[in-house]
Amino acid sequence: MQRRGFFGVRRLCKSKHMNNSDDIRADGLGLVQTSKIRCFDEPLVLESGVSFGPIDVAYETYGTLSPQRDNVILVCHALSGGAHAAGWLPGAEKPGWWDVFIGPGKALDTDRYYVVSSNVLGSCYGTTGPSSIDPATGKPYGTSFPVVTVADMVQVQARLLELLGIDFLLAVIGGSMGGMQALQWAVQYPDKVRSVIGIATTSHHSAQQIAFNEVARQAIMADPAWNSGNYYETEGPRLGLAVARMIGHITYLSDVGMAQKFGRRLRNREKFGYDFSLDFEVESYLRHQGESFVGRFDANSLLYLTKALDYCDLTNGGTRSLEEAFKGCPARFLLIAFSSDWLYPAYQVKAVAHAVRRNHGDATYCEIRSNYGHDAFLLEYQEQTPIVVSFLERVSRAGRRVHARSA
Amino acid sequence: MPDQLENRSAIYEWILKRTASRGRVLDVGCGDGELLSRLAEHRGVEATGIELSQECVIRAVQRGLSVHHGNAEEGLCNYPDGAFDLVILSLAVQELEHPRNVLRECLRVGRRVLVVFPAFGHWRARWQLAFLGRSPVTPSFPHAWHDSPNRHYLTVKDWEQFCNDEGWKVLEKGFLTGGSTFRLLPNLRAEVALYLLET
Repeated sequence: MQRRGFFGVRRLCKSKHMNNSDDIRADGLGLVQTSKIRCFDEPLVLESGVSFGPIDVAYETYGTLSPQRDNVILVCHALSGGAHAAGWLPGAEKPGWWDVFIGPGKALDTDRYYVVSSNVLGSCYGTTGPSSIDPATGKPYGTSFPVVTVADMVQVQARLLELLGIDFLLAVIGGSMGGMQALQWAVQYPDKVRSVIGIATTSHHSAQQIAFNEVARQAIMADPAWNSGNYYETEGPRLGLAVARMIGHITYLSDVGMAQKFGRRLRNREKFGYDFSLDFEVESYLRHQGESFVGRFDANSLLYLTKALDYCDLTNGGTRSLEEAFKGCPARFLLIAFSSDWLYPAYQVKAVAHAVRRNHGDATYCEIRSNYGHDAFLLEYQEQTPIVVSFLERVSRAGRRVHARSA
Repeated sequence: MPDQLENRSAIYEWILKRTASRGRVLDVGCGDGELLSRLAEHRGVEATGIELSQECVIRAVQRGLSVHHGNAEEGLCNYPDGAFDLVILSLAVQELEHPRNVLRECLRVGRRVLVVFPAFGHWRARWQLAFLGRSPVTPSFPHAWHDSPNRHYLTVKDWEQFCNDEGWKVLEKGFLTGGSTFRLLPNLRAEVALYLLET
């Protein structure tokens, strides 16, 4: 059905990238659409104790739900992602953020699995967040939006699945912030999750991770255009948001990766300018990343989501061990780290595997060699694909045995 | 270990006979998971491995195994006491940095431990060292001195002394040469020794 729509897209798009992307579209999901659903009409009690509602959720699904409803994989996105994980939206020049991983014959094989991807609470891609209109005032929430947590995001996802008639996940998968949601799922809804795939992620942010988030937030809030979060009638804190994103991108790369990608190469010049114009390639890259982010992301959402990440702590502020957090959680875990990731270092991912094992649980841990830093979780998909495919195969097989026994 | 081809299936048979059905088995240094996946197939065991090489880890995961990517010490220390019915250390003890620590950990996390090692007391090794004055290169020790992964060169006698000093109970032992088992003069004739231990 979706692949038929693909030809429609071809007529719609007259982009010069058209010929290059033809092949990609042919082996992918083709045209997809984002749906929106009211998840909570009445206020939801958030982890902070604040009641908040209504909540709408943007989501996409790929593949076919099996009659037993036992082939569902929930995909959780990272900080700047959205529900559009795979396939092509009408008129788009790029596919979804994880199109290399989701589709027929890919790691999350949509010929076998029913993949659900939704935008998190507090984001700006369709799910209710600070840029959404507050029905009480008719204006965007801005900073009157409540501070949300990863547990709140997961609670909203659980409600979405309930509305879709799904009460059980074969797997919940995500990288970075998405991985933190996946781990949270295992702790919050242990009976609903058969397996967890956490990539380049952690059970709680370290001081260093909080520190980088704080610098990003301060960059936004120090911009006078932020105006205490009430900027929706203006251009908003463009400079602050761009600087916040530049900081982010530094932490997503690695020293060796930057050396390989940019080195000390100059941008469009042979000699130093001896001024503060653009000299180095790496400066150009960061400025470009900052500027392009401004057009596609809401500054307040960045504040809320980074705060949610900093609050996330499966050990509840150290009042319980990670092992205790995963106690009674029957899910099998696949945990993947990358050697040059210094934002979500391998030791954090490994600590999760160890905690699961101390509970007699099943955890596979793999540290993939890569120079891409934290970005590796998206870029090294060819290395991850066979691991994820085999893990899902094992989890599905174990599930069929359970079915056979209970039947 | 391609040079252990002759003894390989005999090692496997020996291990298979001592693996209970449906138990939990950990293979320390599981390589690409061939041994574990065969045990899973023939004995229905719940198979877990620890392996240092990324390529091997990926292949082992592709065989449907649960694997920890890392070294033996780090991999073992987070398993609870008695988490496994059997821990296998096959042709790995001679490469470990701290074999004593690893073996103690194996005996902590496993009810029983099965150790397989290449025996250095074999007459061929003795001959090469004593009469040819060369570092031995044999089917069990196929590498030249400069590119061997081995850190330790132990004989059957060394091992028995070690088990004795540590107070480990040897439940069973086996010796292989040229792919078959034998009993007479193991320290001189064994290419590979196999021990089933308990604390």
